[in-house]
Amino acid sequence: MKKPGKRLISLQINGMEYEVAVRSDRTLLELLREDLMLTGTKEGCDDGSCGSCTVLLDGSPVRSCLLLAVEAENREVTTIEGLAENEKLHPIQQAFVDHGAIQCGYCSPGMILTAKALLDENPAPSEQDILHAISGNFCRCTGYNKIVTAIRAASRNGKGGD
Amino acid sequence: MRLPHFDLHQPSTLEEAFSLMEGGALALAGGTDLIPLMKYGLEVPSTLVSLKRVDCLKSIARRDGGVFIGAMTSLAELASSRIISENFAALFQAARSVAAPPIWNVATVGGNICQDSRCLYYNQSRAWRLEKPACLKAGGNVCHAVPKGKKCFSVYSGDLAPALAALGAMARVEKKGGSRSVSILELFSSNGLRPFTLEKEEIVTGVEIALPAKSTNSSYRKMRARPSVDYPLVSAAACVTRDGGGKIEKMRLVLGAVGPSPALVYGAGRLFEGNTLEEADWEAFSELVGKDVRMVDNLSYPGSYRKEMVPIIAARAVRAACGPGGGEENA
Amino acid sequence: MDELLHVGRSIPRKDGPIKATGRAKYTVDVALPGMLAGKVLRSPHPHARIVSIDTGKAARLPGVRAVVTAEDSLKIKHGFVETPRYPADQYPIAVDRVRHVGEDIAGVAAIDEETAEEALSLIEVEYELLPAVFDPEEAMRPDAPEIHPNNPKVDEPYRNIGGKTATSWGDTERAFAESYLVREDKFYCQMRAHGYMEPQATVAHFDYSGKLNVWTSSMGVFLKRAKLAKTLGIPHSSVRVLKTYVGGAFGGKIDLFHHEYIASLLSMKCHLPVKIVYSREEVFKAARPAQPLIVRIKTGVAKDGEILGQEIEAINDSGAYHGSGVVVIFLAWGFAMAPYRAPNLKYEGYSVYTNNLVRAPQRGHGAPKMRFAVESQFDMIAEELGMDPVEFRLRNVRKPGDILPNGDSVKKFGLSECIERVAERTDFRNRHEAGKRERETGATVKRGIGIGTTAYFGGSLIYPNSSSAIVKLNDDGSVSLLTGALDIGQGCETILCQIAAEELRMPVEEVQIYAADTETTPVDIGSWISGLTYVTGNAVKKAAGQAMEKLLAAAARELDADVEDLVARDKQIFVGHSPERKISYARAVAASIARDRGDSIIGEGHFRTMKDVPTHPSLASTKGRWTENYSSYAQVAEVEVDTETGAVKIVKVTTAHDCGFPVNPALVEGQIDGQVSMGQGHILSEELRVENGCVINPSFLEYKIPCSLEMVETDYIDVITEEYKRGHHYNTKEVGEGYVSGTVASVANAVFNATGVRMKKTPINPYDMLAELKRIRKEVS
Repeated sequence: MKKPGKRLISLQINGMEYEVAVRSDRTLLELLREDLMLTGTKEGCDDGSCGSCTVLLDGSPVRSCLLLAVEAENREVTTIEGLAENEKLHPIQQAFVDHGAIQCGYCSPGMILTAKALLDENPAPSEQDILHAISGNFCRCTGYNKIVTAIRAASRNGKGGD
Repeated sequence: MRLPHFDLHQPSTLEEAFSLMEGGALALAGGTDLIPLMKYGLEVPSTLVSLKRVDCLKSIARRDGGVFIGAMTSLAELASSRIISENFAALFQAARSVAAPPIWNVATVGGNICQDSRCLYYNQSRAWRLEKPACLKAGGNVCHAVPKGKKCFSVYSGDLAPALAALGAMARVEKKGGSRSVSILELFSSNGLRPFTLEKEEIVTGVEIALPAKSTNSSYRKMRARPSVDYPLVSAAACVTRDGGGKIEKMRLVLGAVGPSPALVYGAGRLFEGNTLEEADWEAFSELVGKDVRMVDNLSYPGSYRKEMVPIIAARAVRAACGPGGGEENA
Repeated sequence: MDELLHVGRSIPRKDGPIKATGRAKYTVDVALPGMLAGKVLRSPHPHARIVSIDTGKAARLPGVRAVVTAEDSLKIKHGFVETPRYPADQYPIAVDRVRHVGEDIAGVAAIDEETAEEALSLIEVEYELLPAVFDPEEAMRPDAPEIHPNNPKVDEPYRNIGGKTATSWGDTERAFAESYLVREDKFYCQMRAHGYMEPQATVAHFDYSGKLNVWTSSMGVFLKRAKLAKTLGIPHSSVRVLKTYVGGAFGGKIDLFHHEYIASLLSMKCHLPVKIVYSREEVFKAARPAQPLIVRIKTGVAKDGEILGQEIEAINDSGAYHGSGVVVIFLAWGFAMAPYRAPNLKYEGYSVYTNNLVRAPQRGHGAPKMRFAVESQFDMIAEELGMDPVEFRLRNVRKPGDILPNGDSVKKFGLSECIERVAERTDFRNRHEAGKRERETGATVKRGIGIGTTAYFGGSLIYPNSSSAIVKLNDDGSVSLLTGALDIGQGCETILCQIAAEELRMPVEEVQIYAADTETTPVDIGSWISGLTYVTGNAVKKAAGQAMEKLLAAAARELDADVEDLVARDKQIFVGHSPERKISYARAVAASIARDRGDSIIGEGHFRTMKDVPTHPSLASTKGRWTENYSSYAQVAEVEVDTETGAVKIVKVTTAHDCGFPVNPALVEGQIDGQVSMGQGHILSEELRVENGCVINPSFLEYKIPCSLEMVETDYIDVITEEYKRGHHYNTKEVGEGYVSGTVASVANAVFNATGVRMKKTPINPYDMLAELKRIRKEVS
């Protein structure tokens, strides 16, 4: 099978309109990291098990390594680069920094985006809700304890949210 | 790992999709099963037909005394649907036990049902197959799990199908110019090499489940290595109807991850009929359940242990089905 | 200046914002103009002679820019250890022979990954298969297939014993004869992977000035430079290793990895940047996993529980080359003898070549395995003696001031206090009794409690042996700190900035750190022997202190005051008794430059642990000093065992830790939490499964690291002993490695407490657990 031709698609990434030419056999992760240099999204396993490559698609967390880039056509993608406003960290990012939820930081982009989707949907989650929401994002450094603390702090329960 | 090259079609109607399927294409639903298989070079389709734009397949609707669930309904929708949680606890729990929550946003009902069977020695990359020759399912002629095995022991690891089968659901199977309705178990061939009875061009477009009687309840229990991410190592779905006094009138028990297809436990209902949970003969149950399944060392836990766990997980499913709302989630 | 401004405080990590926003550049993110994709051809066979390699077709494939094999290399061997006894034994690209599946045979650089992949498939290699051996005890037999026919033998006639550590003191025979109880047990620890989230990755660019620039996911840049220079046959000055953020390492990114060498060789051949990123599968089957260990222990005790003698034998399957195998058998001895007294001891450690993957250290490097064995046996002995496990440990624990057989002092060793306090916090004695009663009940889920302890070294003499630091005052009075230290996630950059800010009495935010560049930053000991905060921290302290002295001298002149009368605060220097006389740091710097013929203010500091000790201890005999600072800790685990399925759940781990002065308590907690989680994986679920040298679970799906729903509740108790309190706040000890051990050991003991099942093999899989539960049920009935 020879290389399929590229297709021109439009999509929104972090609030900006993009028009990109991409082959059908490219994943969203490859498009983001290699073509658009949005390297905040990380590849950890490439088979969908680790969650490092999580981005938000229309607000919901998805594995960008399992999604074809062309399937993001006309959708809204949020990557970690789209969270902070100018230099001001998003409250969840700030909570991760303040509560020691980041060590090596490699899982952090995916973890933070997953947490954002959780808090957008459920501003006052229980500890079990938090553990459940992030259960598809592996972290090898923290044992998850400080991550849960940070997410709780950023939630309405921690007087974080709005 | 790069995906092999392929052409992609993204039809927005079923008719278009059926036509596109005619040249030997593969249907792409959520992709959470198929994309890794393609990265591993285990599926190398020249054409994919993505069903993501076929909006008519994305719905959960009441229909003629039952509920119809379109094949492209996401697991996230299923896992948050009140119709499902109130009527089909087993299905609800099964959906919520799949992989991890972010997967639910992409994975679909149809895709989960049609998930390929798995094996530690099959779900491996091209590079890996240079070290160990391709197995039966990968097109070779050895079985790494059972030396000299001539049969494929890959394990069907979908969570929804056992639950749907216990609930007596029917699958709608369609292709260009044809449509049929089959029971969930009829979708399966019991052959690990090709676990489904679907013809090449056929697509599962949805499932239909009759609304249960008030006195019927169901539950799904799953054993896996970790409480998230992992596929089942053994699972069981039970659907139980009881009378006012708690005596079991009817029971349907289906096992998952015990072989290439979900397995209905014949005689489980008869064993318990007319008894309350306390009166039931659990010893006979333990002997009956899983008696006929052959489980080998091809997942993360040994076959002998998984077989031992079958009656335990099944019993937990039955007890949970008799509890309020299908009992708590997770085994 | 008594009050501590920054040291001892939980300051959020400096690199938090850049990591939280996704802007931190890891090696996998490095992209250079014209960069090529590199791939490595690996052996599919565990042991084979390479008859021929034909790269012609691959080289002719359009898009391929370079292909390398051993013929392009200088065939210089390297080793994790390179001593006369243990000479380098591994080529960075296979010459004539491969000894494990995944061994590097050739490299390709092409315009993209697909082309590189295709080129690999075009390389034709003819192999002649050789007999292979995978079990270390089988490999120890004199008739086993010989893996390194030409290497010096350390223990004739055993051809595959690649390393041996032997030491003894006292008379164990007599001790056993005098013992009230003698137990002999054998314990097995599995092979694990590190599970760092960022895969191994390297970008190498040999530029037209003849310099090899390397970005690589590592644990220290100076060791990488030394090994690359050596194996490539070029001077140190021709290799520059630059900083990138590191997505986890846990021991698994020390030493030279062959993709680093191959990327370099490819770039030297085509003068273009070459990037090699491992797939997750390659990480599991071609990068180095951690050390498995078999430990046999014989212990004799008096009736009152006093340990009279111990004989320990440790067998390490080092894989196809030494790797760190010859080190782990030395360290395992240390972890056996450091925490508890054994007046008579005989130790033998063997590192055995097999045709398995080569190993790297992993967090704890031998300690989790040795402590699992020793602490399990402690509890078995205590049970037989009818003693409480806490009393048994307190009976034998080393006391402050004890001198170890190697001459090290444990100084103000806090282990007995740790044991007491963790037992008190968890109500250990009562709950341990309750756990015993639990064994007898019919409950499906049984609860138990167990204790595990460890002592750990902090810094040791391994290349590059020392750290240096430079502190520069900038014109605005802010500070630039230059250090060779590489933050691998533990937070060392933050710690070092805290120390510099403390010594310079200024805000931490005003300290900018420039780290881990072999060209522009001074040498550093590296993030691997648990000595960074101690060694590099003290170098930074000295550098900052020297800068401060110069600054104060300049200020004193300007203010016409004595240096002793000056007080510094918020980048201002005051005369203590008349605070209206003051000068800003910026003006003091300007004054120094103006008055002293251009002298800007720069401080330098150097630190080496055990200054008077010439070299590291003998790996063969254990003779020689090991470390200056022994940390210690006691951990208590609470578990639940589902007796129907055999599944074990860890509910809570409480840690009493004696890590010296905690420079940043939040980072200390982060280290402990992470190790509890890693210990959880070790004791319950993680195992690299290998069949005839081939890894059959090379993925995060099948290699089971813990997920969030298994999170263990953690609690901590600070035990800061006298020598390490305020006023001695740069006396720090290890905190990043040893806790894995306590978790592993305490869980094993808690499982026994709950069920009466003694597991001598890790991980405690549900299936093994259930089999044991059934066995003892049978025995009882």
